Amino acid sequence: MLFELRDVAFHYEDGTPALNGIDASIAAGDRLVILGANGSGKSTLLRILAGLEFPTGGSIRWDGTDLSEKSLRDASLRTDFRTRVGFVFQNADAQLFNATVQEEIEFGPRQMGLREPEVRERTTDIMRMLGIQHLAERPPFRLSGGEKRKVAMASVLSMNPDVILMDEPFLGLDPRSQSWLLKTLQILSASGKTTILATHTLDLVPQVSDRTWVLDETHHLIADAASVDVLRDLGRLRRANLTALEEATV
Amino acid sequence: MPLAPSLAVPDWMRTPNPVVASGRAPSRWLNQTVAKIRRTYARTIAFESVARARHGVSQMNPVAKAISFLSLLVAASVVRSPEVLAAVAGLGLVSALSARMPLISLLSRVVGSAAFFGLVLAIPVATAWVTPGIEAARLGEIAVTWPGLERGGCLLARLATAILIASVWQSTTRWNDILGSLARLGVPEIFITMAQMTYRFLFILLETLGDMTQAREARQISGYRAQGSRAYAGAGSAILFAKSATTAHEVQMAIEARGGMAKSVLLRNPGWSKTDFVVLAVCLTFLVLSIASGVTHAF
Repeated sequence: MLFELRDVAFHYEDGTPALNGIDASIAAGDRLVILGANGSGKSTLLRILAGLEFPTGGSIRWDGTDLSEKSLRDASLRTDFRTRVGFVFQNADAQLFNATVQEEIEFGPRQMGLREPEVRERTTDIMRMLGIQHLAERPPFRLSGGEKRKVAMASVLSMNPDVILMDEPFLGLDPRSQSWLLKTLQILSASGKTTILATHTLDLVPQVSDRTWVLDETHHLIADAASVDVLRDLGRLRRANLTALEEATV
Repeated sequence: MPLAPSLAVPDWMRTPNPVVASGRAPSRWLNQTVAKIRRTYARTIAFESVARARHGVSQMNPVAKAISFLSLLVAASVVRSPEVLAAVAGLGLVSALSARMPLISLLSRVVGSAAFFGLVLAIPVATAWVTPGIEAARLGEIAVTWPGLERGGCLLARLATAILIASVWQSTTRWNDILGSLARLGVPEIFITMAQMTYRFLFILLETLGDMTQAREARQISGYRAQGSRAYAGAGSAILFAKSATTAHEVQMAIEARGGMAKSVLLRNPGWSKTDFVVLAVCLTFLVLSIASGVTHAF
């Protein structure tokens, strides 16, 4: 198993709960969607999987090793984890911190210590793959929302992670960009990547996942099953505030 | 001109990454500092936990409290007597205790701010160049005088007292009530609107900064060299400014869409209690004492 979560809980400093008693696991190659209403804890769970936040209760293991703030200080674990797990933030603005798009995409491979020709090759390939070559010299924070999302994704893909975590990737994308992202995710899955997406948009779930977790508004995991089965259970979706009352009773 | 994506996965993406050398651990100082500021800001300002707890001065009528604390602030700035200044500071501490503010955190904030802003002025004032007099100590060419030390100390004490009073006022009053009471006291609307924007914007700024540091951490494998740190600081600042400009523009358009600069702050009016009158009388007495102390004391 890549990730094993045992009774994971997360509470903010003022005691507000974000996650309660999460028991689940993720295997290599999984196509997983985390569904939940606003404030159900999806983003917090993704940040915990990305090793950016740490559970206040329970434990999480990565590839058989305990994942904690302390364990990530170990150079070999940190290097292994950061090169194998990529995280595309919901707020692409915040993710982009370099002066140009090209430097943004090169940041990861440079951090990995790759040789300059490899860094260039990866940057060129990824820009071509996502159709953003024309943005290479532009400052990331001056791009449109869809372009920023593509650059944010490119900056993660250039590190060639095994696991790609994406927080609300379809939010604010126009139909053409949504279709592009769907195809990209399908291609990445086909090439063996593990994709984990957090969303509250049901329509696209069957196309990007085989398996779905549902978080309810009490921050518990109330479903971990095949996506088609989860989507069929309208009562559960309604309890999780993922579908409107009238929609669920039709 | 946008180009069509190829959607062909490059070969290197189909194979595992080469073994990467583990570098030195990246410092978490920036992340931890930003997280700490966010937590403090959320606890003391955004959640208004002390102000909403309704203990002691937190329960006062906002207008009565505004007049009282403004009187104490003026008192701290005009006072000439160390005894009266100490009494004003004491009153600030009693107010904080009555609202059950965490005292250690308050005092560390006050001392830190007073030292940061005050020492720049207090140190030159203490020297013989600015304040001649009997020499108290000498470090090479620099001589410190007794009258200089007294003036510098007085400056710092006044500043610390003013910071203490302002901190207690801000922490024990909801931000909207502070702005509403200032508006009621005749402070121009433009100032109120600016203060309200700043308050809203600080949170956005801290959230963005927090996300940025986490985003960097997610892709950071080893520690930065100096050049990398400078580049990050420069680009990070540019993003924050760009974001600031965009948000300010959107807020301006939202205000215009709702009919321009209408009054933005509405003051709750819980009425005046006996305690309000007593606290106000005490604070005004201190103000009078502070002004009077200028007649009887020389410094």
